[in-house]
Amino acid sequence: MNTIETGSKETISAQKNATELLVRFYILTKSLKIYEPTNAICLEKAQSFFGLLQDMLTEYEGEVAFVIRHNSIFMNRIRLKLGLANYAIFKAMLEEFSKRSIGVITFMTGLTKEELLSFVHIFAGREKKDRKEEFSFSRLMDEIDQAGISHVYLEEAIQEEDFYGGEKSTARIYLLSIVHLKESFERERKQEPIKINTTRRLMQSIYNHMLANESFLLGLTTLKNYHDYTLNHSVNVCALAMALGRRLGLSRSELVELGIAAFFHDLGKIETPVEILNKPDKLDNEEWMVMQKHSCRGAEKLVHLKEFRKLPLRAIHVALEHHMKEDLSGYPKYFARDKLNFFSRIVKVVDHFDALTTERVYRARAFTRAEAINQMLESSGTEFNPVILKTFVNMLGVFPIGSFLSLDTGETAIVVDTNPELKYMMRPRVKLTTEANGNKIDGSIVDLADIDKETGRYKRSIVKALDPAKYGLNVIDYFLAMAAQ
Amino acid sequence: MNPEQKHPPGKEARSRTESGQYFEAVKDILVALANSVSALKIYPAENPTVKESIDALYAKFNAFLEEHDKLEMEVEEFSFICNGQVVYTDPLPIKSLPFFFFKDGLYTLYFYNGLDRQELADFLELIKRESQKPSEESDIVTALWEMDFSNIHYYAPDYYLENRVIDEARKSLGQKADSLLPGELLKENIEMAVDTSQFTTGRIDLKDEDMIEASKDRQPGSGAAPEQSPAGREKSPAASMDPILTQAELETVEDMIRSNRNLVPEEEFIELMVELTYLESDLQSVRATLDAFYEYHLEKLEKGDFSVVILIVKKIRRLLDYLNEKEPDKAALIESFMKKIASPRTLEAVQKLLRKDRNVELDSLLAFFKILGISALSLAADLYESNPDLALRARILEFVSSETSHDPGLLAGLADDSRPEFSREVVSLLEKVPSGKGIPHLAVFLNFTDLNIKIAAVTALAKASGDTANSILLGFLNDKIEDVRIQAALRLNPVKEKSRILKIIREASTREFREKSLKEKEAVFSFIGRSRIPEALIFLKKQFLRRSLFPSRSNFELKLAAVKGLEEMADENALKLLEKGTLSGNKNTARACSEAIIRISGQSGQRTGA
Repeated sequence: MNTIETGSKETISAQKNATELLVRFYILTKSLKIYEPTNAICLEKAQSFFGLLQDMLTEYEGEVAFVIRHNSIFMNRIRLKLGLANYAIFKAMLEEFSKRSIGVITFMTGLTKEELLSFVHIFAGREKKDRKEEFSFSRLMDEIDQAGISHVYLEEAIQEEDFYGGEKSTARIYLLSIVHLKESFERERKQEPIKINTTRRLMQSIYNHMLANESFLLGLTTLKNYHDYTLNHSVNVCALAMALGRRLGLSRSELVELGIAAFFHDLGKIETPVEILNKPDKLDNEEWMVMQKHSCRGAEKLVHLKEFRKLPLRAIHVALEHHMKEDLSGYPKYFARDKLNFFSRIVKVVDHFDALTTERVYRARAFTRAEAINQMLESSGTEFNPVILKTFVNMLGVFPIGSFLSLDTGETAIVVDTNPELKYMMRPRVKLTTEANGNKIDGSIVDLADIDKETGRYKRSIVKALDPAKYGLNVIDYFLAMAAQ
Repeated sequence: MNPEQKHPPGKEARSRTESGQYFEAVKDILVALANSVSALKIYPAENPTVKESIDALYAKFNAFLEEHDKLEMEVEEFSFICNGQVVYTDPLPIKSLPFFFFKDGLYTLYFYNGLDRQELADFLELIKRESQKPSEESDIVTALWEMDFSNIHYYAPDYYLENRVIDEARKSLGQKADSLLPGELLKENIEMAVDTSQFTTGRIDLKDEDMIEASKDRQPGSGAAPEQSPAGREKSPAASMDPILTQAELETVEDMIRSNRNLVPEEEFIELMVELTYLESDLQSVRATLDAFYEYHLEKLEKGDFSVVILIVKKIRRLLDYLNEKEPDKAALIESFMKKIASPRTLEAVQKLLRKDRNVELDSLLAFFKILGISALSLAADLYESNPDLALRARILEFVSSETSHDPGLLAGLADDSRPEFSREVVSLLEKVPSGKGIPHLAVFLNFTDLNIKIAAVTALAKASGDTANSILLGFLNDKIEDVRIQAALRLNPVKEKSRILKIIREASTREFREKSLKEKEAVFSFIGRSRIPEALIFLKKQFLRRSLFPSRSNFELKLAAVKGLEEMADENALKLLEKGTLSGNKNTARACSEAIIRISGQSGQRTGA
């Protein structure tokens, strides 16, 4: 597992083992979704899981429990840490637990390999026809009882402890962030203190919502030019940056810092004349020089703030560097520094993506989200850090959340979530927007990884990413409608 | 916004029946919690009272959580509520624990089984820390969020934050705020105003270009994604990308994260400030940036963080060197900044630090001075003067000496009446400058008022001998302080320019001179005598043979002084006069002459070896 390790040797070792156990649980579950329990692959994976579990049962006095609480997974008292290497597995397992309303899984001494295999087979739920029933907790318990599994105990999740689960709440916080940023810009203009404590609380709230509703939050970044391009854009960049930072393995406090840095990255545009910002034609040299100044000016403004001490240092980096390229070209050109800050690299990616996918007066049309991703990949290494960009693509998907697609069934759909498994990156979850005949519908959400059991083939596949503006479609409305429910 | 929604969504206040014992246990815990917080506010964490208090609290928590798995409390303004029952109240805002949480929008607290002592202690420490901050700085919710306890959770509803954002926006934006705020947010029951009928009304017919591509790839239920379709169709970069991160890629990310965490904030900030100074073309903005930089430097100085200050100087100096020819106006601003760093305000900060903390790193402090170079000399001198610490003084002198070795004038320039002790050292240092190059600079002391410093300078000049030293000593002859004049006169060597001696003779002939003390008269006449010019003999003879109708003290003193002068002269003519004087009717005069003759004989005996 590749996560940045902090803490004592014992803590690090315990973390490693606990995470490894979860990984093996995941691998066995995955295998059992595809193959029969008697398959050699399943047997091998079961042995691997069982072996480690036995060791840990010995270490932890006969009881090993996975506890799911507040979007975290604990193994006994150890909270498992998220990192880039295990993000997909964590997300997948959280989903598996959540689908089945499981709050606790306890393994006890006396557990045999066969019992374990039997349990995970039931847990994986391969053979069910009725998916809703497949995932009911009571059904799960019945099956476990019937299978005579006595060394694995389950407890149902307490549903009410889902504080930030509402899309409506997420949307409100998102819109309020735009308000707060507007207020911050105004305060800066008037040389009044900026409410950094409120900014910090907002970032924390965004983080909480991201944990509960990442896909929805990412979907909200399809909102463009709400009141003002710069404000809306900055909030989009903030949300995207935090989601990407989390994926990369940043800690909570780092994510808040990143969020604040992204939030204020375009503060310098306060001074850029509107005529230049909104000029429909190409900027001349002088205008381009003025435009370029906004990064330096933004950094200066942050430094000159009375509350400067409360701001993360990296906010200055980001304001200054977010238009610098990975190869240090771009602007501005440093006097002595020869490297980009890590946060700047993250914001660079998301800033560029959001800018490309926003309608601007100087462009015939906005790029679709898929086009933007592809265009950016062509500059991987020169303009963008390749690993950060790759992680960003993984996060949003090849057909990013908010993309409008045509399917091979003739239907159209909007991407509302990525598939947690990387192998299904091309098969996100989508909300159907038209039937095959073209009639618009307020359709259900379907998983493009779903296979038709009769034909053994995928039920639906993507043909193409479409430009929603061409079809008068406001993608954001679909997300806001979810919030209104 | 629903202010009534204090509970997490979907959750009603529980009213299930718990036993009396349950509530008693909860009350017990909360009282112990409040007591522990109070103890921690008074005593440090290591104090035995505090430790015992936390131990007891932990024991209660542990026992409860082992049995019940979770302790959940609603937070009202001045009370904690558990399962619908008030379990703790404290109505005094200044110390009330419920109020402390409530004011920041924290409305439910959860403690889970698994809570260990350290986590609990950290929680208490957090409460203490936040409660000691000014109210506008303190936010327990932010602090709890950042700590991210494994077994302590809270619910702080978003509407608290929403209200805060809206209130602040209204205060700042005034009427504009309401127009900016989405209408939805202003209503109590929010409905996102999306016209959902648009989702089901009408059709979407693909355009020709999209249709052509769509029909090419349309193979319903084929299981093939377009990316996997017939050869010849190019995969997009995203589709071609292998989503799995390689080990090398994972390590790259880890390195970036680690490197980011290991950044030295001071160094980063300094570099960024230098870059901003470099990049900005508007001089007013540069000035503002440098002002902010200066304040930062002072902060660091006040903390004794000399290494940071040294770094500032080094980095900005590098920029200055670069900009000197290219952007002279900006360079001038940077020069001003450098001067400010060596300004009195900086000294105040250093002095304040030294008063507060006697353990200041002298090496760092001196290194700071060194990096400033000559611009720190005045600072160093003032520091010497104001701080009696011997070790510090020795180091400062070392620094001053080394910085001024190439230019004694700089050293002399540091001497000042306001720095008497330091100035005395300057005399010493000037004396030690090789090849006598420091001696001419002792002239600065002519304008001093401090007696001891002047005496020291005179002494040094006398030791130095030579025309320059003598010349300066001549200047001291007119000093306001008599002792200085006397010492100068006594130490003055014969000068080459006769006119100077004649001038002194003329001054010695005045009425004002007669009013001077005997010692001064003697000193001046001694010098005149030492000159051995004929005019000197004439003058001394005149003074020696002076008669008056009425005996006066001044005349008598002039005679005695003349004896000294003749003694210094010690030639044949002088001796004759002295011999004559031994026969004087005035016993004092006769004795003085005898003694002078004896002294002269003694000296000449020494000279001849007799």
